[in-house]
Amino acid sequence: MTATRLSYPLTVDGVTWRVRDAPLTASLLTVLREQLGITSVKDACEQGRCGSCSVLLDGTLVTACTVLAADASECRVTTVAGLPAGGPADAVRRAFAEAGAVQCGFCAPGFVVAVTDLLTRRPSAGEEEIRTGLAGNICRCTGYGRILAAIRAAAAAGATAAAGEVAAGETTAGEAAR
Amino acid sequence: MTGQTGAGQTGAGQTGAGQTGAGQTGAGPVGTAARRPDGPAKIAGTFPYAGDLRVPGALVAAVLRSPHPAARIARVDTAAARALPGVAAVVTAADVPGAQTYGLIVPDQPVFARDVVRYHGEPVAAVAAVDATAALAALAAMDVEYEPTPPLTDPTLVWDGAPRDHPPVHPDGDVFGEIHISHGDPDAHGPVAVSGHYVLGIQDQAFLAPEAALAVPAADGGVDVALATQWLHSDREQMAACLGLPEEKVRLTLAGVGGAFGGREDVTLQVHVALLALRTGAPVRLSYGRTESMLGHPHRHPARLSYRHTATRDGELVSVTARLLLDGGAYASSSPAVLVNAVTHAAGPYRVPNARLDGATVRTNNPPCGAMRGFGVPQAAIGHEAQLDRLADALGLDRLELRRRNLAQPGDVLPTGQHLPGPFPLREALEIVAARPLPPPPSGPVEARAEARAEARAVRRGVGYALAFKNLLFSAGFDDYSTAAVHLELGPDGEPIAVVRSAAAEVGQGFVTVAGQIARTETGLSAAVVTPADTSIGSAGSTSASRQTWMSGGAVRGAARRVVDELLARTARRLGLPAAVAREPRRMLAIIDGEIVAPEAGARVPLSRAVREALAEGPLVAEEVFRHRATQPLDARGQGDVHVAFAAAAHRAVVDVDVELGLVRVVAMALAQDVGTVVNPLALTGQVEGGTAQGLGWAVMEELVVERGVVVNPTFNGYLLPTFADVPDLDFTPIEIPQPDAPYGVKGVGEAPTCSATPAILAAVRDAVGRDLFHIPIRPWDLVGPRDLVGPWDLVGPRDRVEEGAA
Amino acid sequence: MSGGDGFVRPTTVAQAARALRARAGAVALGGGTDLVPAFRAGAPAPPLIVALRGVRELRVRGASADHLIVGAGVTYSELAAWPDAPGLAMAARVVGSAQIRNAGTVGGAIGTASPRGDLLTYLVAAGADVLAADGARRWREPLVDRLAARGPAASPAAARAPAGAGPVLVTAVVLPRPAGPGVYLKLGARQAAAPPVLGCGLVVDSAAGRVSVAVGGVAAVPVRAPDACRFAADQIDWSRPDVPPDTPTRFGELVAAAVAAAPDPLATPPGGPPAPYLRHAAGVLAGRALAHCLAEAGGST
Repeated sequence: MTATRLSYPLTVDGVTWRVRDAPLTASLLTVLREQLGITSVKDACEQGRCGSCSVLLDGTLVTACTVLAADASECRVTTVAGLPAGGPADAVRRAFAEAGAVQCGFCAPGFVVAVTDLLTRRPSAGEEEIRTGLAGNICRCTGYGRILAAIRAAAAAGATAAAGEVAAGETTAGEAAR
Repeated sequence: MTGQTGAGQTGAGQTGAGQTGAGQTGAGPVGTAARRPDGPAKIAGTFPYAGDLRVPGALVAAVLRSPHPAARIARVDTAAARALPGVAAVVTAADVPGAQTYGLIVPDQPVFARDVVRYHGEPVAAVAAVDATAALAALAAMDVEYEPTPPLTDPTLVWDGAPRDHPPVHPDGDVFGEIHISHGDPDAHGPVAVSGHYVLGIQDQAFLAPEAALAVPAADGGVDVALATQWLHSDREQMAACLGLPEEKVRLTLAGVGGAFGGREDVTLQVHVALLALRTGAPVRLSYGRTESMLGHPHRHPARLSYRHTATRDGELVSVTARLLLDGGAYASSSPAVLVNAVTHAAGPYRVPNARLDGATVRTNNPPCGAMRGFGVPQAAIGHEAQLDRLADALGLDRLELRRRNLAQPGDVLPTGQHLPGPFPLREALEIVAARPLPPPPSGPVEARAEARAEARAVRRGVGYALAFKNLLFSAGFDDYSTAAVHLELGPDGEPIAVVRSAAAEVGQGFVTVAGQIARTETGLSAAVVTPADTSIGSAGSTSASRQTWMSGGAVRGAARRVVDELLARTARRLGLPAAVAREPRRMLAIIDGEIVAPEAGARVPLSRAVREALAEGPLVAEEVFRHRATQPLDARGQGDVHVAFAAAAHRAVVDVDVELGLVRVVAMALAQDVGTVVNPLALTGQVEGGTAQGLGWAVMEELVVERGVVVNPTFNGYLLPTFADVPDLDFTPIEIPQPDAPYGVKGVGEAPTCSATPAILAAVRDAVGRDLFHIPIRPWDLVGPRDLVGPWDLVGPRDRVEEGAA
Repeated sequence: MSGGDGFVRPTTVAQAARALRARAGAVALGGGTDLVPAFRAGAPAPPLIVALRGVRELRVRGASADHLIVGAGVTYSELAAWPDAPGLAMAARVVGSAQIRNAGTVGGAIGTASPRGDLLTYLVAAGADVLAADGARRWREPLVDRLAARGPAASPAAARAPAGAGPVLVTAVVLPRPAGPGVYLKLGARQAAAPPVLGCGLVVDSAAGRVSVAVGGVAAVPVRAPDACRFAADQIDWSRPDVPPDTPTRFGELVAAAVAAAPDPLATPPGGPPAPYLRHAAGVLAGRALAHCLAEAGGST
């Protein structure tokens, strides 16, 4: 008995792909990596316990390995490459590079997605909220110290930018910066 | 299927044009916080790890593993698997053309089990198929008949001298190594004695990127493999032997490595993937999942430590007696070397006039164990530090004061007879860490675990200290070396660039950054690149033993200096300077601020022109093989000048313990560490923070649980790693004293903090609950309710067991 | 979607229930946090997956005068932010990580019926019922019965379902609107994102003068300790409310005794907490839960 295979569209970072003949039970992670060659989404545990496959699904942070790929076919999937410009993502990327937050780097794309999500929703998150909010992203190399420094720097850069916008008389959407 | 680039991208990439002045970030020399060249790609998710490599037409491989920890194999029938659609090849032991076994020290590990399996997860067969679904279907179709046998899971049965009726696990014998160190007078004892037995569980390296490789068969009958590993040349040697190929036909390139921590030192998938590529004539990819990874690589040795410390009433150590039993699991891996480390460090960084230190590492049907960050020293450090705290209490002395009175200093004789080499700022490290401000008492609700809502009266704060020393580089007479080459070329923009070639495996620790910094420092060029590591150059040795900055840094420095010598010589000749100057060009020429200057000759040449003109004579390249000073193996009494150098570390841990539930929160950690000359302060901080976190994990949550030889929790749901919420900030003070005979005075930094972190946390928890602790990791029920006396195992002898404060 | 009917995405409960009934072995998919990793770990592919993402009825939650109703498609994150149900929010907040909370659903928790599930333990304490449907009909039954139906001892309700009616689709949970404080305390092996080892939900109904507790992680189904609850209710001076100082501890001891006597106890996993420790810890958590609830109730008057 051959396993059921499905074909469906999948919209990733604004591009709609045609997934062909994917196994019924394939996770979004597997389809991204194996069918679409989008390998920025990582497979450290494939169990939802490490965050290395963190993506946004219709703007909500999830682990791609716990999403059935077929079930994502009418959703917008956002990987690290598709994080919106003009949001915190650019500051997060820059901060990770400057703060020494990357060693082996396997957790990095997932962290960038998760941190961007956190700072988008909670730009003034304090240390406790950062630590518990990101407990779903495991790093084995850094001990999180330089990652925390990067997040603080990115948050501060966001606050400065927002303050600059206010000072320039433009309205800011979303939560007020601290 | 999109075709990704091959493995040729790792490590490459310009460091960016920046000034070479001190203090510059970005692309700076030694001593600056230069940024990693691979950082942007890793952040963007484009950096190609071994598991990301894709080649059109590649087959997918999968491995069949034993579900039993011990069994005879009665039958392996692959016919049904081979007949499935999409299956290109199935291989078993019968298909291994060369050596049937491999191993880092003793080649005892079968490529595939043939007649018997000895551990849960041992490979029995492998398959290559068109996709993962077909490969898994082939595994399911394989017909293997096992006859399970009773697994040997108690290491004490192998080494307690008592007769046993269990047959040996392996015909070669079940003792991988045995060491007996005899120092001073074996009968000398002080009036105050403390004994303890400590049981340490298995820690897993849990590097995030599971094992992966891509093997492509070559027209010459060889194979090209891109893979994640810690030592390309060691892999190649073992692969060539098993594949029955000369080493020149096994060409390895380092793909992106997502962490290692010792877990990639052993061959795991290398022979399997190459064999399948050669058999099918097609490229073959092999990637492990997390469970397979946790079954597939050796772990940190679980250990049973039995210690007895005696001292004078003034707190001077008189003797240390220790027996260390490391369960090496089914195959040798690096067990004999781990044992050397554990036993030679067993008494700790202290002046011990009399010591009897015995150790053994034995074979069982438990999971194989080998290298993990610290390599036997974390186990020893737990023992000696727990003992000293208990001894201090028995003496009525402050725990730090007892240590102060007994610290080893350079020149002191260690139990191996080796004189402790300097520099060794252990005293300084202790005083620094003791003086660091403590975190304030918590304001508001104190919670050891936020979700458990303890009342303040149920939470007690504890403070603990631990000192450790950790050997650096390889030991015991091993002829270790590293090879590097530096080319001076013109980059695409016509400007000179230093190109570093080294086979050193970048696993995340930042060697690629350091190599660029060294090249920039020596050449005066602002542009330096490190090419992908591969076997086209000589071995750089293993990324382990905290050795790469010293050894491969030394090789890069040497090669860079000699290529600059050649550049200066050619420039001297071009300037018409005498031949004697060209023979020793640095006497008259120097590189300063982007120019070659010869003040006595009144000449200055822009560096870029000098390189361009020198290249007209031919390539500018130099290769260097760097060695450290010789060491000696241990003799029959455990004596020898066995370690090249040591790093000292002192940790302080502060914990809050919910004493009703036995829950621990690590509130703060402070570290002072002997780090030598700092090449990159940001990378240094990252390494010691990461090493501390791994020690923390073992202290309070990490244990690979094995029940009758079966691994119970080979997943990240069952094997818990510290999260962002578990690891507090690290208050870190580097102690920078240049190491003689190391390039720039560097010292390895990665392992020492892992050695001292775990015992510091154990000491802090002990301080909080007022109870001796004997198990790592600390479990909540160790802290609550009846004491667990760790079972009846007692090699010191019952009469020695408890003599605290004996008159 | 093409390539076979192995996957359907209904938009109503009726469609979903019919789809589950139409194929033997059909499986409902909520957030996927349990199901999808199970497939990766080798669980066999079912003949049909019925994805519930598009069934908007399941995502509804609301409050009536007497009850809270939570659709099976509501996620842990949505519950964690729901001010109408602080105890429920507390339980939802400690589940997994942000990623898991954003995807995992109430229906998925009930379907998986983990004996250690944080949310389930609290819902049992809160006296929740489930609303369920199969192809033929809809009904309401106590959550504990639905959980027991997944285990060796089938509930009377499950026995009443006609044979061949197909798998059960839980559409919502219903629980009394809080008439007092509720808490959920958890014991896990690390500071966050911890698999539950033990959990204790406790709900105080000040209006009715009742205490209700449930302990998860010790038996096949969360343990309810009715004797302990009656003791606590008797001890409480409901006019304040207030208790003699040793009541929480004594209450905890009674809960620990109920845990010790629970039928279908979970076996100690290798390397896991010994049963005496779990009993002790259950008592500690229960005592703390009661003390917290009373402090909260006292503070709010």
